[in-house]
Amino acid sequence: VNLSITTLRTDDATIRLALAGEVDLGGAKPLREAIHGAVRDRTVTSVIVDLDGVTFIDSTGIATLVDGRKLADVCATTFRVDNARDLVRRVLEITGVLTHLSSTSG
Amino acid sequence: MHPDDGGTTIDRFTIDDLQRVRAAVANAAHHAGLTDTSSDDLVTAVNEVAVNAVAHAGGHGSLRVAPSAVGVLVEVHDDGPGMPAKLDLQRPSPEAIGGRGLWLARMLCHQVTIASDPSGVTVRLFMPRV
Repeated sequence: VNLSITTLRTDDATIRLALAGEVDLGGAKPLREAIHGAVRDRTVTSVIVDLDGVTFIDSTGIATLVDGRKLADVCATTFRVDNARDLVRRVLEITGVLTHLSSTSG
Repeated sequence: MHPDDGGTTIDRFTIDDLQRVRAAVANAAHHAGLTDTSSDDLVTAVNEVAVNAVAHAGGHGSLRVAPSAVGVLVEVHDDGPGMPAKLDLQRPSPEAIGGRGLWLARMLCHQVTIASDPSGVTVRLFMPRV
């Protein structure tokens, strides 16, 4: 798995998951665990998934982000995907999920 | 096959080899002189077909990558039950969890053919040099 996930408490109620590497079929499971852990944390009201260091994402990675957004909506946690760049941004745009994932809701 | 023309065969790939699959396609794209965008598109499209083989067709597949003067041909073979010859062109909803893989492959690579026979399914993807 060529994906690193760094969990940052940017303030008392916010977690930023800083990803680096490739979000593919192998990386989808640890990413799902990290997102679910952050969203289900009762002390957290806002989760940001930072794609700044991500160079590749596939449909399983996208599914994991959409699933995270859905769970966050259920848990009334604010959830947002941030800093998609280059190929990653283009793939999120083509699949039509960029707006859905980038807008803050919860 | 000439050893340094960027052509590659991977007889058996699994979930652990997807990075190697992508690297093989990127290398062939470089040798064939594809643009960075065409290379990215082909790598992403082939990855989706390979993921489909790993996730839905027995956990493994084989890959053949053949660069030429006109572009890059990639064949992904698996021994799974097969897939529809025509892929759905309707984009999945932004809220849908899955179902994007082959749709995305088809969007990024316009020349995709699917052939099923008793040995399984062969998906051919061609990205022209422009």
